[in-house]
Amino acid sequence: MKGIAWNAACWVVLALACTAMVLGCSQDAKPRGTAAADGRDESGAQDMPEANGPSSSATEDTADADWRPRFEVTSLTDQERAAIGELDEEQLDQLLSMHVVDAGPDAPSMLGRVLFDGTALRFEPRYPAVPGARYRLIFHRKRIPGREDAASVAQEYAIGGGPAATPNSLTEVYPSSNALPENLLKFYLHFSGPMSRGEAYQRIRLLDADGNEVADPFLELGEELWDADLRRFTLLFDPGRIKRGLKPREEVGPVLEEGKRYTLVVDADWLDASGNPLAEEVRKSFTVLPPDDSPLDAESWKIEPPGAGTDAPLVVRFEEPLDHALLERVVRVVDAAENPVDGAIAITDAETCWQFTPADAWEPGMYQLVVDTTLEDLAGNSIGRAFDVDVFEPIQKRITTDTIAIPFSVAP
Amino acid sequence: MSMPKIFCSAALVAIAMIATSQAADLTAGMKKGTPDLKSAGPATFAPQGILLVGDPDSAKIFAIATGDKSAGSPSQPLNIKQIDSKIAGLLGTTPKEILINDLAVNPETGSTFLTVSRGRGPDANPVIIRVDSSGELDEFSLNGVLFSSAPIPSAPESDRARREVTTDLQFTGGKIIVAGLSNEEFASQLRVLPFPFAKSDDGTSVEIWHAAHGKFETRSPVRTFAVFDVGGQPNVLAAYTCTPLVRFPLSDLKPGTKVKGTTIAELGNRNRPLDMIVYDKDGKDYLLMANSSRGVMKVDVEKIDETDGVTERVSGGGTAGLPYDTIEDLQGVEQLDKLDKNHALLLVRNNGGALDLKAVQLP
Repeated sequence: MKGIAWNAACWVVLALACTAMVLGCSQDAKPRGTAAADGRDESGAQDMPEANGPSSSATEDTADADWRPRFEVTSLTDQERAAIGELDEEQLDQLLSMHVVDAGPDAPSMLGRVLFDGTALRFEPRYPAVPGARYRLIFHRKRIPGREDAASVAQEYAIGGGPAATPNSLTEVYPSSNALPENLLKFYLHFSGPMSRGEAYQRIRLLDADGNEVADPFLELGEELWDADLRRFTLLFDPGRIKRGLKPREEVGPVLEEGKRYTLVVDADWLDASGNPLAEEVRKSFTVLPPDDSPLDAESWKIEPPGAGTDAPLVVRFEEPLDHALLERVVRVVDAAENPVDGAIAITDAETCWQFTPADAWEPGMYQLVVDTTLEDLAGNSIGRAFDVDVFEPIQKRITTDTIAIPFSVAP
Repeated sequence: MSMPKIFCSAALVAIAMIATSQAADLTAGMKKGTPDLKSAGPATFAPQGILLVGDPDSAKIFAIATGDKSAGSPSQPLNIKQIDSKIAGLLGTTPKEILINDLAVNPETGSTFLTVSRGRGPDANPVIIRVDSSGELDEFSLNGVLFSSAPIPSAPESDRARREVTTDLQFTGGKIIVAGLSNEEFASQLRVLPFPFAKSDDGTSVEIWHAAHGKFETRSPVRTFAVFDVGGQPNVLAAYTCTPLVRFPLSDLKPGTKVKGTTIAELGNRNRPLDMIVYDKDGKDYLLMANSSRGVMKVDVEKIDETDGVTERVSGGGTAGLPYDTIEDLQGVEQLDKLDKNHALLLVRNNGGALDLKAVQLP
């Protein structure tokens, strides 16, 4: 629905700029190849308005699910209409060309098709117009048989930016603690709405205690690590400077140093999916603890079972903060028959507490807390396996299963 | 000791094609229709003009029969300035709304295929752009093509939070190798899919590890890789996200195994590998690797099978292991592929921030 709302607003802007006229929308024409076209009009198109040039319109048509703006030429003489009516599809395609002004004069013309309904010519783009773009429609009138002496004419259109949307905010940064291990592996940045790809690493900085920018602290991946909705961004520290024994760390040391203070800065000009900046810059300051090289030990977790007949949460407490996203995904409760128990997860106390509130009141009996061994702490240590294993140190315990199960009972 | 002979993946493709063209039609089993691509990420070519495209958003690999035919030799080397603007013009949007995710050259025709996002938000359109050998751009229509697809094994189906980003994929010897990175746990899976896809075989998944100087073992996601022959055996030459350059035999990629690469070069700070190809020139074998800030590195891999691994720490700048040169005048290279025997095709971020597509002589 958001798309429709924008297009409606975009429509208004177009309608102000152009002479409105609505045509039907043919659904069976094929996209037109444009490899041979360029953005320049060989006849030296004159800009509109012109008495006998193209007029165009963009008006609401609920039959068109895409609500695409329409670019039309309506001011045709009867003689021209008769001549156009004799043209085949390929010849029709030669009468109108559409160009993105911001793409420059060397860009090819837009993919699309030209339709004629007996009254007006219409250019239908292959892809819908976008907010903020400027388009140029060229009517090659001289290509109408009998009008070889006519000048081509052009019209520009500025597509509005749509209604002022509520700007996105950076709502959460995990880990939420302000004291983090030297070998911190990642941050999760949660946004209030979908963001845009392609500029994340330009918008995030890490400052030292003096406010100087730390050079190259993060692993920059062109693909960017987003969730499917582009509302959560995973920011990995450069593993080459976390892992011991690697050349980047040997040369310039770890990104974070124990005892020092840093500030993560997320710039306000990071654009959301609609092209709008964030509501405000966000800063998260933190101090650095010693590195954590120990695997997770589930035996240290404290389970506080709820009472039967209540919907009080099961509470599991950890000795250290754990990975927020993994706590949401890889920890669950099953009953004595190993059927999953429905309920809601809450992660509290700076990711040191996992709570599970059942959908229905607890029945008395035995249950299990089931946890994938991929669960990590803030330094990427997982259950039974350190992130960075020193192969010369004796391994106290080796976990080879995919999950562990911790039983607990709900007393009557 | 046998001398190593390295083939780039394109050469492997050509060899595989010769070996199989008489017997196997790789489009057999494909259906005609419109592949439901949700995103167009890393791409490469299999024989017979089949474009393999990673689709991270739907957690699938698509195989698309392009029907791409030879367009003849270009009259001059390809050089398209501001190709992102040109693609924007073609697709009716502004240049800042265009993301070029990968490029793949069809080794049988020299045509270049670019996987593109039209838009930067979650509703972006995946588009495939074809650039012919004369530099003409057009959208490669997905309507009515022969295609098949396979899920990336172990990838999430319905979880919208966890995603596995495909960082690279290559075809070799009837297999598609897929490298990826999770946006949650620090996984380092390399997946191997049979191609043509088989319903009964959803491939294998192997965990890739790295042992720094034989002392510290860590999971090591692969950023980019190439497949080539060392001593008659196909090997994966991989750059880890944590920067070491390693190799391991393809035959090591077996279910349930933990593969540890042999370090052949250890790159210094700020060397972040982005893309790589292997090629031969004047009878010698080289690796050409784009990285984020130090130009393009040309690594002499002639003695790769004599390299038992980098085991000692090396101080100072540069790399330890195989010798290399930095091609200083090739700055800003984000993607590359082999165009023909003598040329590489580069996607270059120019000083103005726009992207140029240009062919250069292999150094």
